[in-house]
Amino acid sequence: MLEKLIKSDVVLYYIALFIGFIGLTMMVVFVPFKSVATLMMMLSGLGLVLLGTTTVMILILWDLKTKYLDRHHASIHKD
Amino acid sequence: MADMRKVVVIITMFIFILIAFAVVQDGNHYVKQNEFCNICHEREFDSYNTPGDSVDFAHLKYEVSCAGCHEGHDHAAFLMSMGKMIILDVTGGSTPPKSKDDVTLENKERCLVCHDNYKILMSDRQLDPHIEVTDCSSCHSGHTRGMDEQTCSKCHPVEYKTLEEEGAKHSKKGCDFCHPSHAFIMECTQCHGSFHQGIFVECKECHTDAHKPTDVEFTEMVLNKSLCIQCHTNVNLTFNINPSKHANLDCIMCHPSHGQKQQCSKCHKPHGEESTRADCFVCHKGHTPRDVKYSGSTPTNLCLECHEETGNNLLNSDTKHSGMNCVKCHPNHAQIPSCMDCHGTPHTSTTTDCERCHISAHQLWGK
Repeated sequence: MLEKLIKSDVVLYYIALFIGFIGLTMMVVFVPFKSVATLMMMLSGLGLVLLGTTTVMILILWDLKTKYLDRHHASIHKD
Repeated sequence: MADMRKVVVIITMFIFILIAFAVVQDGNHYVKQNEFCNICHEREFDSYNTPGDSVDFAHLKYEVSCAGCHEGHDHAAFLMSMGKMIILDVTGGSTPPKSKDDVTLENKERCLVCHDNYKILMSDRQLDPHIEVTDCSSCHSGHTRGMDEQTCSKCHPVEYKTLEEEGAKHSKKGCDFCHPSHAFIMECTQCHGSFHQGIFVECKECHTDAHKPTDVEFTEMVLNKSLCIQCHTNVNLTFNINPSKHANLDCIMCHPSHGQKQQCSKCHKPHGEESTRADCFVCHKGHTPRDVKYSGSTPTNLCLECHEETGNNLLNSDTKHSGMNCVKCHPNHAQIPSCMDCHGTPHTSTTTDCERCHISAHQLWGK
């Protein structure tokens, strides 16, 4: 199911991008920092950006796996 | 087409990451600013910015910020401290988070990062306080203002003892009152104002040692009485009301240094060889020398020192007068009472010239 979704469109990439965008917005709006609270909001934003980035990385790896490794296995079994 | 979209998303995320780290860099710069520390550490921040308040200000002069010593907040302990800070910030708690760094003054190594030449700095002094130093906080109090006097006395025993024994009102203040930081001496005028109305520019010309402020050494400037009476107005008033030869002298004649009182025998022949100034002052006062007053218990032998012949006549006479103290008939100096005050008129009511027959009250029957 997940594989189909990933193969069918780029929705997961967009979700990760959206999370990263929210995070980046949180970081940027509190510059320059005035208090500990604004600093912590920036760090929270950084967390979201890193979450989005990590998700994109996982998706790239999943794509690569699907594109090359699974096809390679499929060809072996066919032979 | 889908792959193209994915590439766009990946590139966008990469740009996001770059922007995010730029913002983090700004945050990292912010937490190193003293203003950031001031959010929680107001007392230390004030101390850091107040001249002469503590060693903090010395660091400010050399542009060493809070992070210059407390770098722990920027490293491992940073996030943990931040977490605690935000909780306290939201909940309104007052207990500050404990620093994870090792910046305590007990940790000499931290200070030595910058002050590694501390032994050379003091080597030319008579007493090098750094020879047996175990930790910097023995003397350098960091954020805390001042330190206890016992610590000062380790290196400054003479000043400490002088202040304790002769410090007068200064002894009630701790060392850190005038020396809020090491080698810093507060201006006298901060407490005393322009006490002498600007006549004396340098306090230490007369008040040579602030640890014994009442021990004043007069300079040539004080030869003129008019300077003394600016403070000692009551003495001047006394001289004006009771004119005497003393009133015409300069104060320094009897008071060679501040508070010192010259022996009367320096100028005057004493009543007795062993008479001290205290003996003189039983009857005489320095500022009103002509006003001689004595108590009813003044012994006759004191009178005899001046009135020897009269006294001997009295003691040798075979009358009831010989057993009486002089002050019985002379309650005030030079006062001669009337015989009739005690004896009435034993002969005739018109006889008042007692000495016609009784020669003298000290020698009633003559020789």
